[in-house]
Amino acid sequence: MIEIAGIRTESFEDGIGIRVVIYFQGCKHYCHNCQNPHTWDFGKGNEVTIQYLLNIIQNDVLSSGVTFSGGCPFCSNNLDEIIELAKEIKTLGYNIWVYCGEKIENLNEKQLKLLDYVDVLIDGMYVDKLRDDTLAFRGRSNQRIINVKEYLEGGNSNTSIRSL
Amino acid sequence: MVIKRNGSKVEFDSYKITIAILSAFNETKEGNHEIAQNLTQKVVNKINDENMHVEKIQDIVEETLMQEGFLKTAKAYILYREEHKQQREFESDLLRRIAKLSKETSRDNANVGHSSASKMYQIGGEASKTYYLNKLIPKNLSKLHSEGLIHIHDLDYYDKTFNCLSIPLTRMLKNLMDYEFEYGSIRPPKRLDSAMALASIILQRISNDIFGGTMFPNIDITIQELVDEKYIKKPTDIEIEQSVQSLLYNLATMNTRAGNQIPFSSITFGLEQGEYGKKFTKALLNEFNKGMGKGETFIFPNLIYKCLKGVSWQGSPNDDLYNLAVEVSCHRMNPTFSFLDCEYYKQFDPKEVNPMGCRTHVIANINGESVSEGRGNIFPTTINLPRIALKTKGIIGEKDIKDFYKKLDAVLEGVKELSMHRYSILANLKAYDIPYVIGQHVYYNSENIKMDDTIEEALKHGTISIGFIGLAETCKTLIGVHHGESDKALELALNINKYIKDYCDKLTQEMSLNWTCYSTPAESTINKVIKDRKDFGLIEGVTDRDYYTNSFHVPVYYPISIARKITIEGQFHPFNNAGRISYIELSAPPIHNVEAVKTVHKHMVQSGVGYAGINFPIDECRQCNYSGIIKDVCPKCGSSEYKKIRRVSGYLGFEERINKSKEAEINDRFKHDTVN
Repeated sequence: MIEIAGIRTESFEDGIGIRVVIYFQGCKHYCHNCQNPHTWDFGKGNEVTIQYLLNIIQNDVLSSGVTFSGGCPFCSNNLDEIIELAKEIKTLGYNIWVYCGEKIENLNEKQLKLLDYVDVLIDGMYVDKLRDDTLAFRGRSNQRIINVKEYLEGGNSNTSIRSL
Repeated sequence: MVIKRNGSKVEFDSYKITIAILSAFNETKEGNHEIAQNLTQKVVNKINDENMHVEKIQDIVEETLMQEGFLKTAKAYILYREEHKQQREFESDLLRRIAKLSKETSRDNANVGHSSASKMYQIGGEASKTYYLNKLIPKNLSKLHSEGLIHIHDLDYYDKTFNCLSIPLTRMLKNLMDYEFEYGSIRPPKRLDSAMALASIILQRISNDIFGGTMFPNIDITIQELVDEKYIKKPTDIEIEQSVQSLLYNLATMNTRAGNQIPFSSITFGLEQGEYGKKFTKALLNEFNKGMGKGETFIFPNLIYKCLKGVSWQGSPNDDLYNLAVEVSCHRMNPTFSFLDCEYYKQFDPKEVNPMGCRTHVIANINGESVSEGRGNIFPTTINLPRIALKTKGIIGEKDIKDFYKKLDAVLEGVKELSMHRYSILANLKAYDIPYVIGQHVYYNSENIKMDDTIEEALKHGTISIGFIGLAETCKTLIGVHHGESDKALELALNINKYIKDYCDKLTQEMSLNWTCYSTPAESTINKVIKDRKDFGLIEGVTDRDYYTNSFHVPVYYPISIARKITIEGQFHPFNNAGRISYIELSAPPIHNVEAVKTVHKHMVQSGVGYAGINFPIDECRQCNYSGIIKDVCPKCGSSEYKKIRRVSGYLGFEERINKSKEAEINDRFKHDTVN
């Protein structure tokens, strides 16, 4: 089971293409002025199965990708299941974007396992005062859009960040 | 003394009574001058008050006529009094409306401002409307409009001119000397920049002859042809850019119709694959994207990008232009997109499919070739479907469908009769009444029409349309659900739409005129809803909002996925051959997500949607001209001075100029991309 805070279908704002966004429950970053503080506490979301989420994704006929958001997917108590979910989603042919409060350089070994299935990572804390409404797919200028494959193949987060 | 209706006093004059009785006698032949004088004396004898009100005197005349046995004459006299009363009422009503307009112009039309010319124009319009409804249009037909069962579009132009025109620009620019202006002719252009400057003048001149919009169809094909056939020199890239700028600026700023409004202009393009057509398209999109002087979004012209298999999609020769068009639309809400691969269009040459920004398109022609150029819609008339449903036997949600169709039949007959009344008057106008469009032979098949000939030979190539509003509210009234929420309602809605289309087709065959079925954008339906609410009460999902839903659209307030909305609405597109459009609503410009919009387009093509737009709010900072979403203050410069641009009835406009009904509709629009 995976604990989620919510789901959004047909999103235009959480990555390239039309996407299903899964908001996982639980976050340990506690950013100042967070937009979704109700997603912080563990145990306050809904428990769903991987199959339930896969059904929702497949029923959203226009979507070509899935975005993991939160909360923070990397903070979730269900990281193993989330990795399993990501694997299934990739098998179905969708691309995966992930929003994460941690910097990519600071992810631990287990967290890095999820990256095997992730195409794009948008990393960095939500720093309220760095607001910039003109940016693509992110609201704060410290957030970076990282091509995960390039990063893992030995590039660093600077060369693999696409400017959008 | 006699007290008049306005309270003033005049000297009593008994002869006025004699005259009134005499005119009644004239009709009934019950008496002569002498008898009238005798009767007058009897009336005078009864007047005992020194100051008597004119109405009281008339009562005595009536009474005397009856007492003396002139019953028919008494009746004629009563009728005469009643007619004069109505006349006075409509005059005072007109004066009231003129007084109101002099203070503030009406906002029914998002494109009309508040200038002195606008006031003059609208007052003229009000006077015309009052005249038409009370005098020109047969009572039984004008009643349909006054009761709110139908809406006579552009009533102020009822017998003056017709609606819109697709401009035969290639033909006109090649032979410009043949199309004389009031005081002389202009030589054909030899360069692209002068061609585009003249195109604007042509469009302006045409706008003054008609009441609706104008269009340059396939402007990219026009440019390529003028270059290929050496009418104009091969333009350099800079010349193309400057020509496009001049065209856009002219169409965005010039005034028509006595200076009161920017003409409703549309440009279609996208099919030309030749070098100069493509370069022109690219420049047109780029300049449109840059915006006006300070980067402001172009409200006019309206751009319509044409997409066709083998030309536009990935891997085809114009896929670069399609990508650019999508990118621009993600920023500026225009161009809108016409999908020529949908089943209904396959019977036509793709070149001839040209929806105007307002959604109207004119293709099939029972009297000649099915071409776009030189033709247009003559006028639409819209049926208020919810009112028919509300009048249908049965309780709300369980109405007698048979009775609904019976009542619809009666209204359709009324619309037919009214349309023929209007068409007959227009067809009998002389070429000098439409001096440029017909007089100078711009219209299709008007070549042989002389200045004092009637215009019928040309006009019969236009379309007469029957439109409808509120299919959703109609289903709600009839069976309790609308077509967004139930398959049963979807079937019913499709049947009703098809019923109107079939009726139009039948008339086309019977009368050899182009009758077409129109998806009305419902721009001024607030009066209809308010009247229906007054007559039938506040009914949930029917009369509880300040607008009726646009034609066959799924109600804007109803939460539904993009995919489902498009799948549902696509099924209605083939029936509405006078024009239709489907929209989806986003909460912000999808400026970073061209791919998402292309996915929506693909789904639209698969669903049979022929013409579509994606709506979102555009906020523009008045200080730094940032355009995007402004939440309280501009994200770039922090200013709180900004304007809100929204799409209404097919055209963009500023929110402060939009009427109440549309404002309510805009605020209700469900954004598909918000968290549910």
